[in-house]
Amino acid sequence: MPGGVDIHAHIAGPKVNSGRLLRPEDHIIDPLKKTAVARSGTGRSVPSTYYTGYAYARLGYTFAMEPAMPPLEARHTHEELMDIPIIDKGAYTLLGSNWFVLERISEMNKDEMAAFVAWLLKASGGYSIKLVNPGGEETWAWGKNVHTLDDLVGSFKATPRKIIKTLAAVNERLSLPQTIHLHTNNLGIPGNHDVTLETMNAVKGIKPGKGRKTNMHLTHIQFSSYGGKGWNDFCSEAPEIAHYINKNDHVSCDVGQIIFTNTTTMTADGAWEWTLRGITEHLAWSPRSGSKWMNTQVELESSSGVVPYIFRRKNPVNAVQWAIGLEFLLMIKDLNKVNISTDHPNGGPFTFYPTIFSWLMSKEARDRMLSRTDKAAKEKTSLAELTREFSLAEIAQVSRVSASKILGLKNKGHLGIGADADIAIYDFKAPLNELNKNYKAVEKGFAKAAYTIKDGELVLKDGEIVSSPFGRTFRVEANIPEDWTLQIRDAIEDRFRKHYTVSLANYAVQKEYFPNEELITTEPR
Amino acid sequence: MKQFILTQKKPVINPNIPIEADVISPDIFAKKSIEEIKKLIIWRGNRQLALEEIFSLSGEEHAGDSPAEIEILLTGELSKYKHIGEKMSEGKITIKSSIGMHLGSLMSGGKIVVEGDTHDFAGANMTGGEIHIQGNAGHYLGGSMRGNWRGMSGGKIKVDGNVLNECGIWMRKGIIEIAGSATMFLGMHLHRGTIIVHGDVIERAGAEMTGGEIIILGKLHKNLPSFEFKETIDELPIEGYGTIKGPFLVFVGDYAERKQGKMFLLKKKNEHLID
Repeated sequence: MPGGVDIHAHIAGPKVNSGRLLRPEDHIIDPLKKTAVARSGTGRSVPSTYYTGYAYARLGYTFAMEPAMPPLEARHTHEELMDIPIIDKGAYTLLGSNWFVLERISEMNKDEMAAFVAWLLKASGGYSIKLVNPGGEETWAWGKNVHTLDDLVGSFKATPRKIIKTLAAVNERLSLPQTIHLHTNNLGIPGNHDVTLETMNAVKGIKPGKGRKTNMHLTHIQFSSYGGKGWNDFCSEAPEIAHYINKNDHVSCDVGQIIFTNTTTMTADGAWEWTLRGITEHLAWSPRSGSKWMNTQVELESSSGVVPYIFRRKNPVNAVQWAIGLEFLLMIKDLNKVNISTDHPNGGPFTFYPTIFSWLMSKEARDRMLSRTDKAAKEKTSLAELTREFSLAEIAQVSRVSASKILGLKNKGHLGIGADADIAIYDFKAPLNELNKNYKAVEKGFAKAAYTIKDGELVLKDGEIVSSPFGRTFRVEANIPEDWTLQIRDAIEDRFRKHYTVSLANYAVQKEYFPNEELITTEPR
Repeated sequence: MKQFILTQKKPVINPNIPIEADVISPDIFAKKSIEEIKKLIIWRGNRQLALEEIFSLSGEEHAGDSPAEIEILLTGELSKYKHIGEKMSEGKITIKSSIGMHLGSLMSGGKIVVEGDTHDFAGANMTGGEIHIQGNAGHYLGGSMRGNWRGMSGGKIKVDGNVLNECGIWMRKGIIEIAGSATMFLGMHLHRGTIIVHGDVIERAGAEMTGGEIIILGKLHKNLPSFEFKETIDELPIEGYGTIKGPFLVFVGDYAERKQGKMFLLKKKNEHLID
């Protein structure tokens, strides 16, 4: 198979580092010893940089994207990305609550907005536009949150709907390789599926850029597909959203599957992390006063939070969440629109991908887990009725092919002419046509690739690292016409002088941060 | 019992460099011949050493299959030796001197006897077994590993001397008995389980406790304001220990958390707390 592509995994940056600091008890479980070619490290839910690279190689993955980089923290993010060996990587730039965007959204000059976004992508070394709870991060700075698409954001005239539509349009205008990468409003809250549907409808009319049909990527969609009014009647609305995605071609998604394990949640959606912190007070595994937590505001750009969380099989809500992720993967007919993620480490560490593969390939494996989970998974979702079993080709589709298509990567996700020599070879020790009965062999085979080859070099043999080269950082620059930027240059300078803690000259990430890079340039329309 | 005697050859040259000796455990010695045991690797700073470079070993030719049958005897100046008996499940370790950090952390069974003092984190996150410390213990005795909100969950620790701060932090089950005194934050975040102190305690015992019981037979110099005096009882039966004669003052707390923790203070030494 071509090397795996992870479209959404929090692997580098300030909040990941906060997560590392917050969870020493998590590292101690999984230490990695130094070898002749590999460095030592600590693992599990927030692994160290070197461990991250090796762990991906062990799974046969060769590409991963850090999905939430506040431009102000771009330096930190790229410093960590530079230290992740083997895999190719990149980062998405957070734009959902940027003051500059919020301020100008009501009297928008389209050229100006496009120029700003292009400048910010270049300054932060980002790959695409990421929106996290659009507008909510700024509202959270005032202790509030946005709950519908038409709530006003702070003291601005912006609403989440306007932000999403504007940035989706800008994204297509700049012909960026990926669509906007969206973490919906109300994420994690029961009954949020209507906001998700509304969000998808809102961008329906926007014409996709060259070479693709989609204009929006909904990330970790599992967390945005909940029905019910509260935690008691919490249920799955995955069929409704999967139906929309099947009927319309403009949306792609990754699932954000949860795994029953001890993990660390981290997102730029500070408001949701605060809510989650409150929820942990009532859970059996957590200390009575709630789990430990962190929450941050990133000046004019974003917020973030970190909370440890244990997904439990016997917790009805967790059981339903587990089923929803699989429902999406099994219900969406065109597998180009969906790919596997755990929203590492929010739903579980990425090292559990092989377990997800085994659930997809074998109904027996799903049923076995279903019988061990709380009965809510059976009663409140449709998972028990789904009989689809993935073939190996379909697993390849949802773990690498569709992700690289969604990302607009021409040299990843296939082994044809022009592809990078990123190859994973697995040995299942079982007949290939009977893998659906041998789900344990599937899990074992995928967990330890027989060989992983990165850019033609053998990096892993029989699960052991044999060499540790450094991959490239992928970033995007849009060639915008000179006169678009003239109008905003003064405004940006003014903003930095008045409100930022860093000066403009120290803000942009310079070329030293990309020792190996692959620059994708686009021509705006 | 198959006995292995490990005698330190000469004192460590630079005593500031810690030695990670987690291989000294009956579980790891089992199924190995004495020659294999001599070759086990321990880390001194960033250098690997074979066990025989530091210790002279004597004992049976082969350790046999069952760790329960193995007894390890350690002598020497061992205060920089960390992680001894870590994760052990059966057998016995006797240490003739003082020992370094993380003694018997994560152990699930067996017995460790220390004839000297222990450093911090002795018995941290242990789930079973027994530790008997005949000297004094350091901080975090029977506590939790850094960052973990679930500490010791079984087993028994007995200290003949004194302990330092945060003894039994985040404890969920088991008994810690201290013959001497304790300093601050005794039984902090205690969830379940029992801590018995025969000597005096300085202050802040039971801070943020959400359950379990702390019994102090000496003087608690200063109580937290978030504990409330409830009643006086004559004697106190403790599961797995026996009955202690009182009378005791019963305090309930911590009111900053849920009020399910109980602190029993010997009345004749603690009357100053209810004035």
